[in-house]
Amino acid sequence: MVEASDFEIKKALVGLAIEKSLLEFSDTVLEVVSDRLQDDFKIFIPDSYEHPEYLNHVLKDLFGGASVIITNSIQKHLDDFSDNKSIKEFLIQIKK
Amino acid sequence: MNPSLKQISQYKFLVYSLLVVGLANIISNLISSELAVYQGNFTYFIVAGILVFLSLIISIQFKNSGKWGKAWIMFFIFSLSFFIAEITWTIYELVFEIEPFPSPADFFYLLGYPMLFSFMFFYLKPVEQGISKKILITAMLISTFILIPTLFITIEAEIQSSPPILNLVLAASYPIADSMILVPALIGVSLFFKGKVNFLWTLICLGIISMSIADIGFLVTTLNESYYTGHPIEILFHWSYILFSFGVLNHIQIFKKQKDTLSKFDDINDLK
Repeated sequence: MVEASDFEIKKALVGLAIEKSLLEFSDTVLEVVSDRLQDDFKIFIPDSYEHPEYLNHVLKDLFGGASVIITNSIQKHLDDFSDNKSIKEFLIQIKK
Repeated sequence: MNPSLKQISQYKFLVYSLLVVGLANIISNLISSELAVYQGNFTYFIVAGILVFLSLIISIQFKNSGKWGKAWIMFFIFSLSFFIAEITWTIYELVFEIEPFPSPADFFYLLGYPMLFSFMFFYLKPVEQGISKKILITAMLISTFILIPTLFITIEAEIQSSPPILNLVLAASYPIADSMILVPALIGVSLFFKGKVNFLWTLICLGIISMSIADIGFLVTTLNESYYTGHPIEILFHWSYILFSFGVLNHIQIFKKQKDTLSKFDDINDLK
């Protein structure tokens, strides 16, 4: 059995948190954010863990000032893991 | 087409549409007020019909999923309600040749307001944390500025000419409802400031302001008995439909799905 690395687990967790936050709006919003990340930056949603600035850019472009509320929601979904150094770093980067 | 060029051509098309509709009204009024009645009724059919069509497309696009899915269903019901009201008005005026105000059309117009309010409620629900007291108070103050002249005109009309109470209440209820729906519209503009979705909110806001001024004009001209369908004040009603339509069209384009692949997850419903 192939075991997932710590990095892959965190990436999946971040991906889930982003998707859950966007699903509060609509499936369509999630699809469009996903499309924009793939088209503009050639990444999938879970890859935002490595490139939070790309997600930040897409959210700001679509939602303007309200993007802060979405990043707050992502942070809320990752609350249980916020002590982790790399998750903490991701949350700092996504809010820049 | 380049997205920014597409945006510019959309702005141009919006300005042209506003100009054409405005000029058509003015020219028909210059020829005869009878022609203006036909032109006015025909324009409502077209602009309200386009809004229903675009609202249906965006409701399908958002598939009733999440808060925004529900929001767009509400918007569709709002546009349909206003469209039915316009058709009812036209039938009363041109087919039955009965005074269309007051008429069952008013029921559909008034039904549209809670639907439009519900649209904005559901749309803003996921970002409600961003609504500060400052934003709320500012929006309420601005909408009160629209309410004040309405109340002033209504009270003055009641004292001076004592019009039929139903006509007065109905005519005054429109600007009052406009001022109420302006509050969430202004909140939307401030929340999504600098974002692409802000274009929709800006146009909705301008549409409501346009409708508010037209409704105040309708109240005044109804009370002094100078109102007729196609009256130049109606340019603002037509503009409100056009502004709403371009806002919806822009939103359709922003949220147009480009790929079938969504994410690495097989079923996004499992995430809900």
